[in-house]
Amino acid sequence: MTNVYLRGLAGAILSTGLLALPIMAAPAMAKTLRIGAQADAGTMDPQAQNIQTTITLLSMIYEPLITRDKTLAKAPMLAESWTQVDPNTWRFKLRPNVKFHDGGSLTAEDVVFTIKRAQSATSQFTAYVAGLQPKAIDDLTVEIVTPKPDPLLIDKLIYIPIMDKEWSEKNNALTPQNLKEKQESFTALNANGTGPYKLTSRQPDSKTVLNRVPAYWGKMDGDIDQVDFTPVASDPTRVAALLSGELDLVIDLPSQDVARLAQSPDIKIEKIDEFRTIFFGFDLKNDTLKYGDAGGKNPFKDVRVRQAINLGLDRDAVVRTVMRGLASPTAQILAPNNVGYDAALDKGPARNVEAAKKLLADAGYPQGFSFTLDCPNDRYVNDEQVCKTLVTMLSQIGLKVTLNSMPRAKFFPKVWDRDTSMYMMGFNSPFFDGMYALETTVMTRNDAKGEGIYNYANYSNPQLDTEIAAARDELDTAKRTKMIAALYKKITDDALYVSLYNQVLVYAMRKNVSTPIRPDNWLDIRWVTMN
Amino acid sequence: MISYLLQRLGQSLLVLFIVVIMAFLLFRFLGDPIVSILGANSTGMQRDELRRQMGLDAPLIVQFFEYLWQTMRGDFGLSYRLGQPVARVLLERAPATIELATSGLLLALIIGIPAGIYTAIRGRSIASQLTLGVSLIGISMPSFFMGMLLIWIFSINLGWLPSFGRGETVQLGWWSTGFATRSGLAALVMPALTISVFQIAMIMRLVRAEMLQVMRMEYIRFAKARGLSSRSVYIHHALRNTLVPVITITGLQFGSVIAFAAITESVFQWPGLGLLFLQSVAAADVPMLAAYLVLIAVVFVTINLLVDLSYYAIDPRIKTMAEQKGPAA
Repeated sequence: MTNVYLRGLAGAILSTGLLALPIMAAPAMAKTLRIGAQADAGTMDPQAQNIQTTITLLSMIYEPLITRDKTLAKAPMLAESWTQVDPNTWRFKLRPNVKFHDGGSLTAEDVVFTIKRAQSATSQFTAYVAGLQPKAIDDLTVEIVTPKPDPLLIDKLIYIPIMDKEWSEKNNALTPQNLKEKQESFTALNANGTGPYKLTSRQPDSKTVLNRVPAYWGKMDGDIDQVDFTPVASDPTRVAALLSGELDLVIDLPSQDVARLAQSPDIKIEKIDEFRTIFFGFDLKNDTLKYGDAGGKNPFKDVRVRQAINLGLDRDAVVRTVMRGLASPTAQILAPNNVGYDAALDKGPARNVEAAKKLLADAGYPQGFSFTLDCPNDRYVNDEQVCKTLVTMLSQIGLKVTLNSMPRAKFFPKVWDRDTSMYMMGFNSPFFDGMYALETTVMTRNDAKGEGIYNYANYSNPQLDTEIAAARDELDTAKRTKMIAALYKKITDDALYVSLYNQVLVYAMRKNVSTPIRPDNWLDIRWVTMN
Repeated sequence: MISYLLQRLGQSLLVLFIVVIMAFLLFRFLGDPIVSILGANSTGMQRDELRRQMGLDAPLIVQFFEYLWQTMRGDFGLSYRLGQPVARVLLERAPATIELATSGLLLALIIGIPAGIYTAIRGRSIASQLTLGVSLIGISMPSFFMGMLLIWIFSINLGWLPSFGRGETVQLGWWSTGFATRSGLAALVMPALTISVFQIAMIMRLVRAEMLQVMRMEYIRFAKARGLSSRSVYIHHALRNTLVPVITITGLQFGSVIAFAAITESVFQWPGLGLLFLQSVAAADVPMLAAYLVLIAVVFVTINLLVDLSYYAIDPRIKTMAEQKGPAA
């Protein structure tokens, strides 16, 4: 006890002493980047949480086989090269002499282990590695067999950072989480990657410190020596901390503060159209409206009703007022920079209340009808406000909408059960490619095949399913792109989903920080510099 | 004495049992923890599998007894959000909140008691009218606003104090303290001030009211008539008699400061129990929330029990009542 106390006291005296001489104590050249975010990375396990903040932070410690370079093109990382042996078989040649932070060497066994681990029940990346059969050919060669030809395999593997098999076995971290045996996850607090930074300390909800690994195998443009990742949940506090110089980079900025921060002489703002489209879906299965009253029918199954809603909303007004200009209006569910994107589909019809009313009357609802809109209130930027605005706009074309807004822990279980008549959704394809959204939100639900898993509309159109499957399995890139674009035209014309806007992503940083900003909100530390 | 003690203990246990039941029921309806474990984008098969693994598909009554049995053994399970044992996380976060609450209350006593005495004695002076006015603002200003105001002044404009976090902490066994470093103390100032504003106003008004009442008592008039110095009258005779209720209230306030520090903690990203609670709510981290509720109930019940027992020691009237017809409820 006395010992502990004395040690504490000595530490206290030492640290106050050091603090008294801050200029002399701090090494002149050490560059520390202090990043502020709304929420903490939930874990240090690279497979337990498919949330961009976590992916971003762990990508500083862990590395996948393939990465994206500054132009977002696919580039070698832990795999030096890869070839497609036949339509279903890929071969990856690993970089030699790569070491994990604990000194272990990177081998083909580690890659095989990682992919199998990502397939376990508590992994959030199962969809990316479903059905893959990895095999170690020799120490530095891995073969991966896909269940069917998959043009997106490489894009998917970008999300699978490689873990060390020996380390995971030693620390009993064979699965991302073990809730069955109520076993504590070692990887919640510990990490061991091959990346340019190693985990120095981690206090959940408070601070995570990473330090540059001197013996890092690669070269990088970034020149940061230490990363302090600090979650600051309160929006105004996070902005204040940036202004007062306690943070260098804020990666999720409350929209109301962007204009004000842009005025500050010490702060720089970077923006890009994010891969996140906000749209609305409808119950397209049930014959009567579950939540609402339309005389025993389900009006949303009639394309005229969906088009009436499309005509009834004013995208520009929502973007200008609720989103404060930090969104781009769109009438389709695919964001720019994705394969299959067609800019012509962004332009929706101008608001026309009379035309909307006429369409409703033609469909047999001259007096409109009433229904409930389900909306999350803690998931997307200004989600609840946007829904409220929509309710008002739709009331002007004669629809009586009851807003049911709720936290995401209630919202998602509801839409998972397809227990909704109309709902808000934000979605993006993770692979810079339009296929994933078609496969998961338009195809008929088939959980085993990973099809229609986010098709909360319960829509089913066998004809469309066949066409999507054909595009998915097409290996000719040009042909495939054309097919995807044609499919997006079809569902947009059919108003399957009524889309509002793409969110704009904003980073704010001190003037001495430079970082590229990616549409998928992946902050790549390898390009970040400070001077 | 023994029967009084046993009866109070029995009541406390009953309260705790009811809280445990409520914790279970309340959080069943909070939302689905699967969302925080598997994320929004998961497949139905994954979710069903996980529900089976975690026993969430068992009948509610089975789940309840399982929960009750574990809670009684002190096993609060694993946090869904953090993947760590709940008890350890609570233990790690408790020092931050306790240090914050203690500092806030000490500040409130140091400022509140002298201000209360002053406004009681010099009731008509401009200074005391001003103090009373300011204390009204202190009572009515919401703490998040107070916090933002302090950040705006001391972090953004003056750059004196950090706007978030706890600074450097020093580990004394399992207890992490921010008292031992300069940055830890600097980080404590604004959150402690924010928490104390309401308490300062309340203690000041309490001391003032009590003082005014005591000053009208005969023994004070006699003391004055005896020619004792005002200082001696005010401090030794009047103040001493006002302190009993002040200490009682402060003791009870300690519980509520801990329980309601959540807002202040979230404004300053103070890594204590309150912030933990808010983030657990957002993630529907049921084991964490249930344990937190039980912990807060234990704190309240313990403080109340101690206060009751101290009354027993101080106030002879309770003893007599207990002997005649059992204790007052």
